[in-house]
Amino acid sequence: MAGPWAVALGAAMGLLTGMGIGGGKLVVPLMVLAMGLSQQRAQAVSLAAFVPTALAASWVHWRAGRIEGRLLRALAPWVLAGAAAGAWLANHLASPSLSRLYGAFLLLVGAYELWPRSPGRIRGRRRATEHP
Amino acid sequence: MATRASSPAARAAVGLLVGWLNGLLGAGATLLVPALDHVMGASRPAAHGTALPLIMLASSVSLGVYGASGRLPAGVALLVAAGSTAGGLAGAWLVRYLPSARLRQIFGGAMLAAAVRMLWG
Repeated sequence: MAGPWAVALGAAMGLLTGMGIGGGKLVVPLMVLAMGLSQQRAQAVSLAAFVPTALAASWVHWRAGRIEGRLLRALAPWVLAGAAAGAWLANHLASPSLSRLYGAFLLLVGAYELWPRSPGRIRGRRRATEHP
Repeated sequence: MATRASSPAARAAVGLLVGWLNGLLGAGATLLVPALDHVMGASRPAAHGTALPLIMLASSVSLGVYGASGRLPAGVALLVAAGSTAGGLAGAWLVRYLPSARLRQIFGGAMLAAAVRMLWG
């Protein structure tokens, strides 16, 4: 039963990511709630699905000259150290505790997604105000 | 695509925070593009372009730690990755035909619902 769920969730994640919306965040709770994976396993699956896509997309950005080497070199050691520390902590927390942390993070991101971007303009109604 | 001078402390703080969130929650890439843009002074395209390999590196390290802890179900990961690759191609094509602002609102609402379920479910 896990197989069809995994492919469907992956497709939904890819679809949203491909549209620039970022589907990975929603797929993690779905894997926990629908497939019964632990929070850590769901996050590991989401990371594993992200890496090959990011590798391909990085190559496209590199070819287009959109990667700043100086900035990349300056930040990479810090990002890598932070990732190792964060992943270590995640694997030392109980799954329900990590789920709650993830829930708090989703609450912030969800609120941010729903927040109107430009002041004075409510997204989704832009067309109505600009072309009465 | 020149960047404004940013202090080493700012770079360390942004790098550590984004990496830490990636390791802890497998997320947080959302923060890096505006950070590169506003804090580091990179142009928008350069911020998007540079954020991606940074998050990819962070994700690889995080994934290694999860794998070493025995927390990576490889079979499920392969199926999700296969679905995700196909979905990604379809999404990149569909983005021209669907109202992305409305989808973003639906997605935001779904995230809030999932958050409530995870916090109090």
